[in-house]
Amino acid sequence: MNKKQQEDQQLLVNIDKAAAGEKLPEESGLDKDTRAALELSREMASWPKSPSQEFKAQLKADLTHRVVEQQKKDLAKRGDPEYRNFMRRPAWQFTIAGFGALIIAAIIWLIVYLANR
Amino acid sequence: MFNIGTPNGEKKVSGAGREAFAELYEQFMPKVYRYVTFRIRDEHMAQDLTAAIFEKAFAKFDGFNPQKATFSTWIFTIARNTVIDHYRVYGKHEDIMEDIEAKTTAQYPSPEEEAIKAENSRKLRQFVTQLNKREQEAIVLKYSNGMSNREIAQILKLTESNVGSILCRTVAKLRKSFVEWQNE
Repeated sequence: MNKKQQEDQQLLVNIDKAAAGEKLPEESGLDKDTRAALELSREMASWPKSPSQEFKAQLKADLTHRVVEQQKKDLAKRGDPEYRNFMRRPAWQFTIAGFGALIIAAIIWLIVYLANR
Repeated sequence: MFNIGTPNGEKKVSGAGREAFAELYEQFMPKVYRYVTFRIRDEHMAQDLTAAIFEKAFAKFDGFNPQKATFSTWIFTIARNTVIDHYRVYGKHEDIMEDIEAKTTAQYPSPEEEAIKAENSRKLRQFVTQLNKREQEAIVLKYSNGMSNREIAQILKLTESNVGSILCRTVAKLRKSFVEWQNE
């Protein structure tokens, strides 16, 4: 590794530290150009802002609302699984079958009754 | 279970689908916002763009494949494209807008020093906007969230050593422009 590469490597390490907001204890030993570069790095690292709690919460609420809406749509497409599970319960199936049989028997009885009149 | 990339390494997040999105939102929203505010100084516009980025991410989340890219790479690619689209529509002048009030006041003892610092900051921002697109992207990703060169390389589709070279060259270029301006 030549001198230029070593300097670049060191500059990269220092850039990483400056970008992460870390202090460089050995800064007094750095050359003028590197110190100037680090000064600019620190300045640039100070530009981004953090989101306010209000904005963070508002956007989260909006996205959560979309998630709920999406889930409702998905559910409507697939059909309500609770409803389907209920229909699959044996007791419920037995009841429906019983009512069905009763209705058929009533119709047969009615036909026979009317025919014999 | 799927992996998401973070500047501190890979992290496993339990759950999948839309529930996982909420968890990822908590982790990445502040980072994305920092990225946007580095490029867009107007707070309301930055908020609108951040919201648009996460709405897009939510809409495309089913198509996110953790085998292909980390969540970090994926979300910052969306963020990058959204900011580029914004500039296409509104032009580039916006990111060199003056932002004198943005600097804090408490840390400088006199109004003169405050004014000098604000002017230096404004000028530096102007120099950043004069860089080519690739240099700007590398600078923004590095200084908005302290990303590693590997992460930047994944987002910009470059090699890690290429990103290192770009950063060194760009910081040196900025320093040169800045010193020349100060000596005028």
